[in-house]
Amino acid sequence: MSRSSTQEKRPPARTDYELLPFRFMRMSSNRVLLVNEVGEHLFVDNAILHDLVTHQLRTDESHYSDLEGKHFLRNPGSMLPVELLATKYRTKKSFLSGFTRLHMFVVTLRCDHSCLYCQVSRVSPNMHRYDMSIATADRALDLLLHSNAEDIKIEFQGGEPLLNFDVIRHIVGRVASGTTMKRIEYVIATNLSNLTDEMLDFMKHHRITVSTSLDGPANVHDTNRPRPGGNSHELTLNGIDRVRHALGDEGISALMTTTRLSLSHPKEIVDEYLGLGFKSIFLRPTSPFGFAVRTRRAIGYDIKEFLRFYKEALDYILELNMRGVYIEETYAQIILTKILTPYATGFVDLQSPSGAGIGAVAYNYDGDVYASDESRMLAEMGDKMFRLGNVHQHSYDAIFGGETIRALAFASCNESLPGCYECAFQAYCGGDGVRNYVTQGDIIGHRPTSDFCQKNMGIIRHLFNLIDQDGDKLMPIFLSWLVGGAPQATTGIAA
Amino acid sequence: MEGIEPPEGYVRLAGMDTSVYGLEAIFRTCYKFTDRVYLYLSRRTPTEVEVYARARDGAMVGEEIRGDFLNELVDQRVRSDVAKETIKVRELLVAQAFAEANLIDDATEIADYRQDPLGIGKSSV
Repeated sequence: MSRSSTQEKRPPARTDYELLPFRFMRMSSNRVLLVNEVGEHLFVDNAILHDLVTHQLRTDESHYSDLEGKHFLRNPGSMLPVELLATKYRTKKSFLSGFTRLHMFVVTLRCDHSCLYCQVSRVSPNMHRYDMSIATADRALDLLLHSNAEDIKIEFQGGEPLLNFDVIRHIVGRVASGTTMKRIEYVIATNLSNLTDEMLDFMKHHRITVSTSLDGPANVHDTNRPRPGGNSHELTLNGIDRVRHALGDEGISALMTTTRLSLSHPKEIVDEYLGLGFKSIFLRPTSPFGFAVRTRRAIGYDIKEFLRFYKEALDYILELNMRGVYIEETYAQIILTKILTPYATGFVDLQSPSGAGIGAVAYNYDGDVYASDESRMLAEMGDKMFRLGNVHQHSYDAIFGGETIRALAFASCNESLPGCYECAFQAYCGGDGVRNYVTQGDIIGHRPTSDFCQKNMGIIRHLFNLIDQDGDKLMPIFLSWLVGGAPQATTGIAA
Repeated sequence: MEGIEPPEGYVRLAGMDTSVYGLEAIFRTCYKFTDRVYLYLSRRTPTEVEVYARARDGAMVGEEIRGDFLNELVDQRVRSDVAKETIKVRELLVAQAFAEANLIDDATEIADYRQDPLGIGKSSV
């Protein structure tokens, strides 16, 4: 068959396609990021965007099939793209099913550290009246077992929760001897300074994991986290070693909090984690609660400084990965999961609606129930705006179905918040009514001056720039972070 | 029709035809700039709105802010157009995402299995 007769048989190009919902953001003077309703993305230049929205794109143009395949447009009347988008949307919002899955038990406010950025109200180790009682623990557990969620995580917090290990032992023991069919995981958030072998045996028997704080090398960690003796770093390393010995490497994870001192040590902090065998590091800014508010002058910084620190640390982490040393940055991994997959992450701080109450809840030592850890911290600062009730006074329905949870859910659906409604990063981000209230005076918040917005915009934009400009080198690393393993050959996987 | 005069210290950022940009796009653009400038809007004619601004940091409102504002206005108009054009399908896909039934193709819900509307029982051989 001749070429000319083949060309004669091709159907004429059409421009009668229909747009599917999408948002866009200009990344540079001629580079535009398109993002559809479920977070699938495509980079195009200005001319393609113009042709797309003015219905001048022809079906025989190379970009047409990319835009159709990624659900930015559809052939007239075709419903399959809509069904596929609906399925992905449902998957993205799957964190809503089962309702509250993370239950935080603040078993004591007592603590032997005086961390500069401490978000909670802490008291000295001899003040036992700030311990959760067995009766309060039992009532909180009754509420937890009333929840619809089949998979639950109980996180023991403080203060320093090991100082009230008896209550931890009681809660875990009661669940173990009960008849619940729920699958319950336990984690203890501890500074490890009061760890005993008996506690480790108990944790091993009941498969309890540990989360600790490690701010970096000793000079950074000990300055951020003073305690009598000034030896927090030494105790932390010793505790990590003992936990690993008893529970295995998977039995412990670590988090860091960035202070002004940390800003000048990004590589040293990453090296500290690597040197201790951690495969991930979570680069977190300070939050505007508790002691961090009082010490802001000493340890605080503006969000631009944090973003500079974050990018430098992330660049170093990526450089290490390219040299064959596997370590992931947790916040990037969460955002990349949202960018590159349709799956929900379960990270309550970056959800729409936010996880406050509907994803996570905190039971304070005195039985008060809060929509989030942050709202409990706010209460310790004297403002009980987001208190949902008390385990001794209110029913499950009153606590979990009340006006406070509803107001927070309403105020954190970024699909309808000013500034978020049209944002290209909407599918990757979330709302935080409690933080808005604390930092800006109301639960809706003001996006242009929001640190939360600036932080997330900065990080998400940086990740997209890396994907667009250096995708060949970096996509195998990013994909390996999604599966928790070293990069494999990943040809054919589109960004 | 004369607009109401702006407060002291505000300079005219731009005048715009609401039949070209739309009030929605104008307000979304203004909202986005409220971290850099204080803003004041005044309707001069039934189709013309004027935007006045005063920099938050006390500096002069320069050409860079004006240029960014005008470009953002165009983008917000495009976003508004795309949103209006796709609102029905967006509402459908969100409703379908949370629905128990198939809202898109109800034939799969109410059809008689003996008629096999999706051709599941048909062999390709």
